[in-house]
Amino acid sequence: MSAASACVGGSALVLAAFVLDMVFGSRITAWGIRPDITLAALAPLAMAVGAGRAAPFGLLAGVVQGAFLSPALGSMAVSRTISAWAVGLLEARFYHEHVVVTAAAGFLAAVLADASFYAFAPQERPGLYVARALGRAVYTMLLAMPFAVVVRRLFPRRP
Amino acid sequence: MLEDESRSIWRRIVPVVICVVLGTGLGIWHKAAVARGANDPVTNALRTVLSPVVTTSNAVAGWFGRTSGVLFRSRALNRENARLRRQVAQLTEEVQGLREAGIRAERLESALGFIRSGPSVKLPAQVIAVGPSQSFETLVIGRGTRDGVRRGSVVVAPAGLVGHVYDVTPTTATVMLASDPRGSVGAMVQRAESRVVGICRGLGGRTLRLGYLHRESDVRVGDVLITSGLGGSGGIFKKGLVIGNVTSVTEDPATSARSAIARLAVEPDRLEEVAVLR
Repeated sequence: MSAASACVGGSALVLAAFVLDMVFGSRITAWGIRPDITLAALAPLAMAVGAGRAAPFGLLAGVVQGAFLSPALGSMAVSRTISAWAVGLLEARFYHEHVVVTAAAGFLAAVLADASFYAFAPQERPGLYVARALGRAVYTMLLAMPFAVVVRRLFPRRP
Repeated sequence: MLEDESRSIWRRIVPVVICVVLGTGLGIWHKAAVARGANDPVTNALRTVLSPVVTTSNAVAGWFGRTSGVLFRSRALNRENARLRRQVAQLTEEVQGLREAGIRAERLESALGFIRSGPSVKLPAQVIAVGPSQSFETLVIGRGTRDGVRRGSVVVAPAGLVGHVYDVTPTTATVMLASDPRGSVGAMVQRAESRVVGICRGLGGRTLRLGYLHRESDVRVGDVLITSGLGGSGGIFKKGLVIGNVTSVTEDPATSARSAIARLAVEPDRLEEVAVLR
């Protein structure tokens, strides 16, 4: 896949996941925990493209989410960038087409995004924040699996 | 070999550094624009392009949800319909009584020479999206500066206060919910024997704390809290909007001050339409 088509495909996936997040995110909230569908798509994407190319996709996801969640555009953008980049670093170390690895990447992406978000925008009740972040990470982990199938088709492994 | 490795490290590091710098710059630009009551062009463009897509997708998903709901829940809907009819009859009776009381209060106020504020104009607005973060309680509505919405405009729903407009683009506005931890609302207990006044601070997760009350303050579980019109985030909330219900009352042994935890009356996740007060 050429760099240009990878860029278009990845960006389209991030934007589609964001729209799904906006439409279904609040509808599938369970026990007060809302999954981050954008991150669920970003994690397998980052693992497929590697750290260098994952960072801009993370920035795109963060800016789009931040534009709709006004008070923290900068924190959202930076936290998603770092999260995507860190997950992208695992590209060469793991067989990223395995469903368990994808799920773990989703969990890691959500934890990293929330941890780095906290570093830039500290919250008033850290205990509650951590509890919710862990719940969200588990939920995001589950949702990362179907996105892994889409990513596998978009970015087939080179022989 | 060594050169290849160092080039590969740079290829990994440089993009993230550039993206972090860009993200930080955008954040600073955005904050500065919002402080001026406007918005940055990136946010404007993204919201202008994505809002119609989100709105259309929401409408389609809502239609599917309703249609499948009718197919699978017809018996439950019939029961709910009967219950709602009974409730409407009860409420109609209650409204008649309240209307009568309102007329009487109005007559007494004019006899006593009270200055009355005019009624607010309500601008209906569609909820486009509920904020995707767990840290901020926001929602995006499909009205902006073109419709006369300004930063600080109060947003309400039939159940009560929703929040205030945090930022605005020409076609959309972000509403910060009253339960957002960064916000506060001047509140009052609605019960005639109490009328305790305080400041409600958002705690997140649809809850608020009415804090620093005198230890003898008459606040009970189940009390309805309304806006007092005496301040809060910018002092923008007019008196009498329902905030929520008190769910627990606690006393701090160190200071003897009481505080009450209340649940927001509106359910943000289920809001489809709101009204902006102008």
